[in-house]
This record gives sequence, C-alpha cells and structure tokens, in this order.
Amino acid sequence: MSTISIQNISKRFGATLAVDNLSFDVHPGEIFGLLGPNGAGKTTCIRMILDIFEPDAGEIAVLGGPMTDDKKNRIGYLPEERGLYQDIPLDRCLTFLSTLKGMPEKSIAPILADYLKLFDLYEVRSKKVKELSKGMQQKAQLIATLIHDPELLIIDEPFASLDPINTRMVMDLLEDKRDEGKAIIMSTHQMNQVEELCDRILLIDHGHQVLYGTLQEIQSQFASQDILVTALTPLPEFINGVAAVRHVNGRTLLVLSEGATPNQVLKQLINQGIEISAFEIAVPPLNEIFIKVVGKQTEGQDG
Amino acid sequence: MKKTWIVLKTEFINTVTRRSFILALILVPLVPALILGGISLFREKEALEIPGISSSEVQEGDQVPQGYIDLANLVVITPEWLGEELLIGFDHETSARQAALSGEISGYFVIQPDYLESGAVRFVSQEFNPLTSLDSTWMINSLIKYNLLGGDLGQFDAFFNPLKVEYVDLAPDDTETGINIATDPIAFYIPYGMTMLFYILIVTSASLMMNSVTKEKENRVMEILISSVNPRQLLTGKILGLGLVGLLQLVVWLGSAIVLLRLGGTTLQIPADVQLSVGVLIWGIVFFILGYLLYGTIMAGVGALVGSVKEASQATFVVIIPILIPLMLVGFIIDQPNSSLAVALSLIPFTAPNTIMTRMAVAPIPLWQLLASMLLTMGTIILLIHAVSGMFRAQLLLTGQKFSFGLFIKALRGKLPDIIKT
Repeated sequence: MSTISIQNISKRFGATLAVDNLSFDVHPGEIFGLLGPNGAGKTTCIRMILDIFEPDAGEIAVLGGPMTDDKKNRIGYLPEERGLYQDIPLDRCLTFLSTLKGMPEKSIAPILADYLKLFDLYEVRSKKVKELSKGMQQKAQLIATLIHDPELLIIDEPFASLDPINTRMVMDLLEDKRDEGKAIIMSTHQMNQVEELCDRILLIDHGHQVLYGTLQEIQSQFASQDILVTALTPLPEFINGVAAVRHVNGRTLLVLSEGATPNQVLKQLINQGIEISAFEIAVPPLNEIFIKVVGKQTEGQDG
Repeated sequence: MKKTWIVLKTEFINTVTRRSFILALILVPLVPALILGGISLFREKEALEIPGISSSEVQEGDQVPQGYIDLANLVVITPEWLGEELLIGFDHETSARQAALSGEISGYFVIQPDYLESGAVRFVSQEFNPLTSLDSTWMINSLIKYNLLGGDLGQFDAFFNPLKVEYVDLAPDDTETGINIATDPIAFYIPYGMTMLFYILIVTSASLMMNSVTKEKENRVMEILISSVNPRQLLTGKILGLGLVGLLQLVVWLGSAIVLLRLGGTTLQIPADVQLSVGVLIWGIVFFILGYLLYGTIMAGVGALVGSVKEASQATFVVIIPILIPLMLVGFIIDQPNSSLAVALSLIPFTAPNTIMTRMAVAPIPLWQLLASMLLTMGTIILLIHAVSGMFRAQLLLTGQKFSFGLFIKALRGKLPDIIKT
C-alpha cells in the first residue's frame, strides 16, 4: 500500500494555476524526490498533502485515507519556510513541538537528549534559540521533524546551512529511516543529493508533471550513446565510430557518431589490446536533465 | 482538545516566564506601594522635626497644639470638636510667646482688634515652614468661622455645605450620585485609576495575543504549527492561554489596589465609602474576561492578517480606538455615572468593560444594566470568534497583508478575495 496516493489534484490561487492535474504515489521504504524550479508548485503540493490547503480537484490519500488529526502525529514536516520560537530555550521549544506531535511529555526528555547529542546540540540545550547559529537552528529543526519517529517524512531543502559533516550525517540518517520502511519526500534543488539519495523522482514545472519515475529510468531516458571509459593504457587517437573524445574527471568520454554502437567500440578497443578498467554508457547528470527539461518548458511557455 | 491544552499551557508559560512580564507584574503595584510608604515616612519625619519637641516625646497620633490671643473679642465658644488640647487660648501675647519658646505650642495666632474691618491675623512661630503653614490654619479658621456664625453648629454646617442634593433618577434603585472632583479629588482618582487599569489590562493582554500570532508568522513557525494543530485549536489555545495571563495580571494588580487602598486609606485620608470592595474585584474579573475576549479576538484577527510585528503595532492603534472613548470621557462618567451617555457606553460592547468598571468604582450600577451589558458583549464576542476563526485559515496565516481597516472588515466578513499567492 502506498503511503501517499495522489490522483489528479489541482489548485488555483486567483488567476494562477499552482498545481495542474498532478498524480503520483509515494511508497514505504523509499526516498521520493519532489523536484522543480522555483514557483513550480512543489510547496503547494506538499501543503495539500498535509491538509494545510484543500485541493480544488482530485483525491489525496495519506497513510491509507484522508488526513486526520491523528495522522498529523505520524508525519514529520520540515517546511521550506521554517523557523523556531526565538525567545525560549532550545529544549523547551523542541519539547513543545514534540508534544504537538502527540508525544507524551514524560517520554520526550530521554529521546530529545539522544537527538541533541547526535546533532551536537546537547551543550546548548538551555540557550535561547536566537543565540544559536543558523546551522544549529537548522539541526534543531531536523530534530523537531524526526523526534516522534514519523512514518512519513516531508522535508524541504534538508541540507540548507549544514556543513559537509552534518550533511553526511543527515544523509545517513535519512537512509536509515528509508531502511526502516519510512516514506520520505524530499524537495531540493541540490541535484547531486537527489542522485545520491532518491529512489524515484517527480519533476514538476508550472504545476504539472514533467518527469516521473525511478532515477535510472529517467536517466536512461535521457542517456545518449556516449561512453565513459577508464583505460590503464593510452587510448588510440582514432577509433572507428567515435566522433569526439573529451576528458571528464579523469575519465574519457567517447561521443559516438551516428549509427555506431558501444559494442563495436568496445570490440575495437579489446582487439587493439587496450587494457580497460571501466566501460559504461554515460548517464547524463540530473542537473543537465533538469536544465534541459525545465529550459524547454520555459521556452515553450514563452513561445 | 489535547492540543488546544498544549497550546494554552505553552502560551501561558512562555509569557509569564518572560522577564519583562515579571517586572511589569511586580513593579506596577510596587511603585504606588513605595509612594504610599514614602508619604507615611515623610509625615512621620515631619512630625519629628517640630521645634522644641524632642523626638522621644513624640508618639503616634501626637500633634503639637497651637495658641491664639483674641484681641477682637470674637471667640465666645470653643467647639468641642476643636478641643482644648489642639487650640489653646492665651490672654496675653507674653504667655503665648513663652509657651511657644518652651515648645508647648508650635506657634500662636493674634486676632487683631480691628479684625472685623481688616481680617488681620498674625501668626508667630519659631520657624516658618511653607509646607506646613497652609495645613496649620484650618483650626483657627474654623474657630473664627464658628464664632462669626454665632456658635451654632447647624448653621456652621449649612453654611459650608449649603447643598445636600439627593439626585433621583427615574430609573428604580438608582439613587447614587457621582463624585465631584472639586470637593473630593482623591475619590475621583480611584475610578480614574480603574479606567486606566482596565484600559492597560485589556490592551496589553489583547496585544499579547496579536504579538503571539505575528511573531509565529515572523519566526516562520506557523507552517510547522498548522501541520500539527488545526487553526481553530491554535486560536482557542492562544485565546485561553493569554487570557489566563491577563487574568493573573488583573488579580495581582487589582488585588494590590484593594490592599493598598485599605492600608493606605489613612495615609491619603481617603473617605471610607470610596474604598474598593471585593465585589468590584469579582465584577472586574467578569468584565476583564469579556473585554479581553472581545479585543483579544479582534487582535488575533489582525495578527492573522498582517505579516510583521511592526505592521501589527500600526494596526493596533486603529482597532483600539473604541476602548479609548471611555478614557476620554472619564471625567464626565465619574461626575455623572448614571447619565444616558454613561449607560449607553456601558451597553455598547466595545466601550462596555471600561465604562462599567469606571462607573462601578463611583456608584452601584443597576443589575439590569450589568446583565444587559454582559449579554450584548458576549453576543458580539461569539460573532467575532466565528468571524476570526474563518480568518484563521492556513492561506492567510502563511502570508502577510498590508493592514487597512477596509481589508480587515472584508476578512472578518469572509469576503477576502482569494488572491493570496503562495
């Protein structure tokens, strides 16, 4: 059963169609990337899932049906527009947000202490939130999102303001949650993080679906016949069927000419006695796919 | 319900633990208490410095008598209430002077032989104190007036209080009169203080409500909140939590006022009938709750509409105008607490809490007026809560509009165009 099932939802604000006939599912045990340029309708879509906004049309089922007050306790949400109470101590602020998620007050302290230690905030727990750095506040917000062990996590730009060490730590944490069977929706503009974490993605633009599927499906959809080769001996200057040779991050990219196949090229290299340690079809980075697809959409809109 | 309680509890704790709140809660009653204490000390000290009398001889209630020599032969009778011990008559100035030098009297008056033509009286004392000299003439003044009126107490009283008017209103049980500031200045300040107290209490509590909403918008906690609690629970929790904060303030401040007036009544020579009763405290709680719910709900609506604390404080001024009306008319209400205008202001929900409390500090209010005022205010509160709940929806809470009265009324009527982009 899907954790989230969305069928043909639309939402309009005055003259603006923010979400246009969108459908998708999110399953338990996956990290789902909700992607799109600024103003594409991602936040509106998330707010409809959370019952903050009502869709004008379509159906949303969360954790097996319509949203209820109890279900809100089973969801962890890190919104893009986020903040904390600034004038109260950190532990009081997080305790309050945890109780709002239905945690009994007595059970909060030990779990909160563990999270504060994990995020290296234990020593500053009694300080007022406004005295903490931006990165510390970001980590505190992640604690508020995770502390009640939600079945569904919706996180918008979770790595903003985090240093590389904390980014790695949060990535590992999210992967652990996925392995525990939680469903995670992640919205971000950091395509390298999407490539590293997401199992499936939905790319929306101007409120409607542009790409939807597993990362591999989408990348292969955009893959050319180009080949990435790592060779232990120098490659020959001329290879039949190769139109151009480029060097990318210590590897060699062979751009094939029309009609040539990777098999023909591989056979030639072996026949010529080249020692090859890696030979793979060049997958276009998600970043390029994003720019290509969204750019085309924008051109289409402009035209 | 549980989440409403959590919001209520958190709002209450977060507000009452704020340093500024604790300071205000303590300082507001402490300052008048210190002033009263200061006045008592000053008076005691003043008594100690009477020339010729050592401090050990002064006991509580001691007052050094004055002397007089009647050269105009005016004084025939010395009334009992002036008492021999307060005003001592001397036949010759020599003996009066000796008494003054020995400290037996603080000074003496010489009523000149031509007093009836010239009104001349000479006061002789060891040292002239401008602060106490005004105070010290009332006895000789009364003595002369009493004798000029032939020593008849009834005539004396009628001369100084020629009008003993009984104000009778056509309404039943409505026989009380107002306070005349000219004759009863201290009694005037009690209802005046009550008006100010209620104005401050209602406006500060209602402003706490608005600040709480706008701060959550400004701190960007709002979206996290409304993904966990529904807006109605949030509104109810806040109204109740901050209402309790206001109630705490009311009980401490009004309770201190009652205690201070009781303790300080003698210091300030406040007549016994202008003391605040416990009944005032009870009605005060009722009308504070009504006033707070009315203005707190309006302020919550303003908070839901605007985007920042700065914008909110500008909007506050517009919505609190009605509560300023009783404040501007306070002199009139105190003077004529049962006039048509005062009654009308008591029945209009936006001016009722303040007007009722001002009137109550002056004179009893007919029960029908209290009940009618309560019912009308409660009805208005129900309508307002309904309207503001409609405003407390996600779309508005996640955005900030520029405040205008027209937009606010539109929002209250649920007619805000759905143009808010997210």
